[in-house]
Amino acid sequence: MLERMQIVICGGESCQNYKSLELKDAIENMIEEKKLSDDIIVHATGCFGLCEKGPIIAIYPDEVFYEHVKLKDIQEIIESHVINQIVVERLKIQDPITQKRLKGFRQFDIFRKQKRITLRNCGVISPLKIEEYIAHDGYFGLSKALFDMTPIEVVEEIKTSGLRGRGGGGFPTGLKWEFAQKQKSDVKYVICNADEGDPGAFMDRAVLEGDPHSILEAMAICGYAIGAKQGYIYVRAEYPVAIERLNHAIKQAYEFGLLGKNILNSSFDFDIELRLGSGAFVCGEETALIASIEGNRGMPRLKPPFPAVSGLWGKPTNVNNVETFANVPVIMVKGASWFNKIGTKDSPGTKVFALGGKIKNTGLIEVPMGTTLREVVYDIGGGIPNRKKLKAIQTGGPSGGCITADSIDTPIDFDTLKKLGSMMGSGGMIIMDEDNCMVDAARFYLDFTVDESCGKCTPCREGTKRMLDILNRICEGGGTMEDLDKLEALAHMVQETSLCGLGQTAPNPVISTLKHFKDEYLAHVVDKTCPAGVCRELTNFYITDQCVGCTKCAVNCPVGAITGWPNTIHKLDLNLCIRCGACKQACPVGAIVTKKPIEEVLNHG
Amino acid sequence: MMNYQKLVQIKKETKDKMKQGTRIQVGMGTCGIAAGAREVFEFLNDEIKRNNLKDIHLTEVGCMGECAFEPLVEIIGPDGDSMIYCRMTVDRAQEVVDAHLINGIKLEKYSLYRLKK
Repeated sequence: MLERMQIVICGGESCQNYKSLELKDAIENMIEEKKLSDDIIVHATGCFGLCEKGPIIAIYPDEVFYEHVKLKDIQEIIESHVINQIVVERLKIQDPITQKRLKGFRQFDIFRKQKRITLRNCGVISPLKIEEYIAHDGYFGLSKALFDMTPIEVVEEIKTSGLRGRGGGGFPTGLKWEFAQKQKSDVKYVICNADEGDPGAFMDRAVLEGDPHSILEAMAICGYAIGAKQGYIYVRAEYPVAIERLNHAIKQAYEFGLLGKNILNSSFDFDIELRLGSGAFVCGEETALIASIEGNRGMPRLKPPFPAVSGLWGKPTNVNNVETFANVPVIMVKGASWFNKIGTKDSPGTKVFALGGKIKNTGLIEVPMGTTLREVVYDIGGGIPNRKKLKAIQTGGPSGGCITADSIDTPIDFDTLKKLGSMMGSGGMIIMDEDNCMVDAARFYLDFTVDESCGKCTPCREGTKRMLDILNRICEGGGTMEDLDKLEALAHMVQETSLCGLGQTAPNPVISTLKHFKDEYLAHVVDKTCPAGVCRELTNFYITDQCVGCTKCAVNCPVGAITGWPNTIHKLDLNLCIRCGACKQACPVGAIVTKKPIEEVLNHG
Repeated sequence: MMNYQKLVQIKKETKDKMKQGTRIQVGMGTCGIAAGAREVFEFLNDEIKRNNLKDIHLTEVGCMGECAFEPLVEIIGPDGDSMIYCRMTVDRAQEVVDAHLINGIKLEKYSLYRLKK
C-alpha cells in the first residue's frame, strides 16, 4: 500500500553524531504507538549536505525540513505536523533552498557548497564542439569587450572584479594587465601558463580538457586589453589529451572567425599557438617559462624587469595561469560587480582544489573563497576514511605548508593561508591523518624540489640538497638536536636568498612542519622513534594485550612474521618483520602499536 | 564572416539542440580515460547504433570532478532529469543501455549519488 507520508531522517555521518538514529527509533516507536504505521514510512537517508543544521528531518510530500531536531521535539512534530497537518514553524529550516524539486546532479544538496565558475563547463559541454561552448555564453565576453568596451575599460573591469592570480602567488590580475597595457611597444605577447607541475594538482588539466575554448577566449580578451596580437599556451607534453583538445579548439575557433584576422568583424587580430614543455617544474615560473618558449634552457632570471616590461623576446608580455584565464570570460559577461560579491573581500571568486590523500571523496572541487577547511574536508570531501583522526592539511604542494587540525575552521583565501604558514599554491590539497609522519611528508616534498631545482642559484641547488640530507638522517635515526637547528637555519637561508619562487618556497614544508609538529621531529631525534610508524628504521611493531586473536594481522603479513592461534594473543617475530605496517592497518581493534627499538628490547628481553 | 548576430544565432540553435532528446555525457578527462571511459564511450556508440535508438546524443565532456568514481556516464532525459552512473565498465554499460535507454528504468545500483552516501 502507498504511504500517505514519508519521514526521512538524515543518517549522514555528521547527523549520526547528533544521534539521528536515536531520533529514528523514537519516531518509529511513536508512530507504532499512535497506530500510524500503515500510513507513514520512516527511513534514514544519506547526508543532506546541511550538516551544520543537523540532525535534519524531512517530511514528504510536504517537503518540510526540520533542523536541530531533539528527542523532545519528536512528539510535537508527530502530533502537530503528521496528525494535524500543522507545520512546526519553530523547527523549520531557515533557508528554504530545498523547496524546489531536485532536478539533476548539481542541485543535490551535497554539491550546494560548491560553486562552479572556473569549472562551469567541465563535464557539461563537449570540449570538441565550439557550438556548445557558444551555447553556454562562450565568446560573448570577447564580443562584449571588442564592441562595447575600450581596452582601458576591459582592464578596469578586471581590476574591479578583484581577480587574483590562481597559479599560486595571488597577484591581482587587473594590475598585471595594466602594467602590460601601459608599455609602449608595437609587439606584445599573451602567454597562458599551463605548465601544471605540483604533484597532486590537476585543475588546469581539467579546464584545458573540458573547456579549452574558455582559455582561447580569455587570451583574446587579454590580447585586446593589452594590445597584443599573438598568444602562446605553454602546456606540458605530459597532457596529451589536453594538447589534442586545445589544437582542435584552436582550429575550430579559426574556422568560426573567432581567432585570426578581423575577429567578429572588429578589425582586431589575434593568433594562438601551442608550445609544449617537457615537464620541468621550474618552467611554471614565468621567466623560466619565457626562456623555454624562446628555445633556451628553462631557467628563471632576476626580476625586475618584469615580463610586463621585458618578457618574451624582450617584448612586453602578460603571463596568466589557466585557472585565472578561465574566470575572465565570465567576468566579462556577468560583470565585475557580480564576480567580486562571490568569495571574500580581498580574494573574490572561487578556487578549485584537487582533494587527495586520506579523504573519502577525492577529486576536483570548486568552492567560493572564504569556505572553511572544515566544510571542504568534511562536508564536501566526506571526511577521513576508517574513522581516523585528521592530523594536517597540506596545501600548495611543494611550495606550501601544512595546516594543523586546530586551524580547520579557518576560511580559505590567499591571505589566511599565508598567515598559517602555508599558501594557496595552485590548489593541491592533501589530507593527512594520524598515520602520516610529518617529517616524512616534509622529506617527500623536499625530495621533489631537490629533483626539480634548475641549479642556477646556489642556495636552491645546494641548500635544498643539504636540507634533504639532514631530513634523511633524521628519518633514519641518525639525527641530532644540532641537526634541527641547522635545518631551520638553512631553511630560512634558502627562503631568503634564492633567485626564484621555486627556491624561495621550497623550505615551506620543512618550516611549517618544524613549527607545528616540532614534537614529531623531537621524537625522531631524541627518542629515535617515529610516532606514526612510517619511518622504517625508527619503527618496531608490537602487539599489545588488546589483541583479540582474529588472525587478520597474520593473514596480511607478507613475510609470515606473525604467529598465533585464533582467539589467542598473537606474536610478532621482529627478526622477520620488514616493518611494512600491513598488520597495523589490518588490525580491527588497534592492538598493534609502534614502539621505539630500545623499549621493544626491554619489553621482550 | 562571423559577427555578433551569427554568434547569437549559433547560441540559440545549439541550446535548443542540446535540450532535444536524451543527452549522454561521458566524462573523458585524462582521469576518465585512464579509468576506461573510452571503451565505455565506444561501446555506447555501438549500442546506440545497433539498437537503432533515436533522439540520443552521445558526447564526451571534460572532468566532472568526481575522479574517484570514474568512468562516469551522465544521462540527461528530455525533461532535464539527470542520472549519473559511476564506475562504468562495458558490462555495466550494457545493463544501463538495456534498462535506462531501452526500457526507461533508472538503475539505482550504479548511481553516483547513492554510492557517495
